[in-house]
Amino acid sequence: MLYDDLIRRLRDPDQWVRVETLRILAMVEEARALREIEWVYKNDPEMGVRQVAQWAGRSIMAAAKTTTGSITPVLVKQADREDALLSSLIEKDPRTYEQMQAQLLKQELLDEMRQASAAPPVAVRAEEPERPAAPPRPLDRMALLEAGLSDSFFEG
Amino acid sequence: MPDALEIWLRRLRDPDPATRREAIRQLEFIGDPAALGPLAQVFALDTDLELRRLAQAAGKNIYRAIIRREAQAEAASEAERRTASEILAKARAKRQQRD
Repeated sequence: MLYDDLIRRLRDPDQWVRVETLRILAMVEEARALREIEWVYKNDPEMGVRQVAQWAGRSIMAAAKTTTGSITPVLVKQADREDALLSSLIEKDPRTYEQMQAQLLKQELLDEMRQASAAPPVAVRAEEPERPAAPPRPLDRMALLEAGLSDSFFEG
Repeated sequence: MPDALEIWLRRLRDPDPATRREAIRQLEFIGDPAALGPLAQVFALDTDLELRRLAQAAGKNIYRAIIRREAQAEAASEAERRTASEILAKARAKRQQRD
């Protein structure tokens, strides 16, 4: 698999192989590789490689925000995505399937966030003991991906 | 005797931007993954912004074509189908709630 080969090459002992691989991943805007790129950014022994990793990560993040609309609302209709998911399964296209799955999970998170922000505040009666804070809700894959990356990785 | 891939990869480093442009087009046409590294170098470092964009577009097309071929060779697993069914059911239920 080409993608797996690229990920393996990020750990190649030759720093030029690692740099070339980072450039390829940035060129093709491979968002699946962000975690691995972050690992290189934080752990590679060569400063030059770490700098290329940072550039690659930022490039991919910028492209992902533009194409998937993680800042702006998702433009693709829900029904269209479901149809595409079904079609991709019928045609046995795992890549489209993954993309559609991520879109659906992301839409669910957005819906929940909207509902949470629209919900009225819950009044707590004086005699009731204050409830402990609820544990954080599980995030979807896209949110986990974004939350897991350090600030310095994003900031340009 | 060098093959076409080797020739166009060499021309990708030509000082003449027009030659590099033609090399990018030819490498995209050939579609060999061996061109991804050199194209990525043009994408990252070429002094001509237009050539950088062209190299990226060519690299993406080559990469996607390979990924597509790989994906076609694979079938969705039973677990993936189950997960997809669950997601679809949840999405439909939410849509019905909204409607």
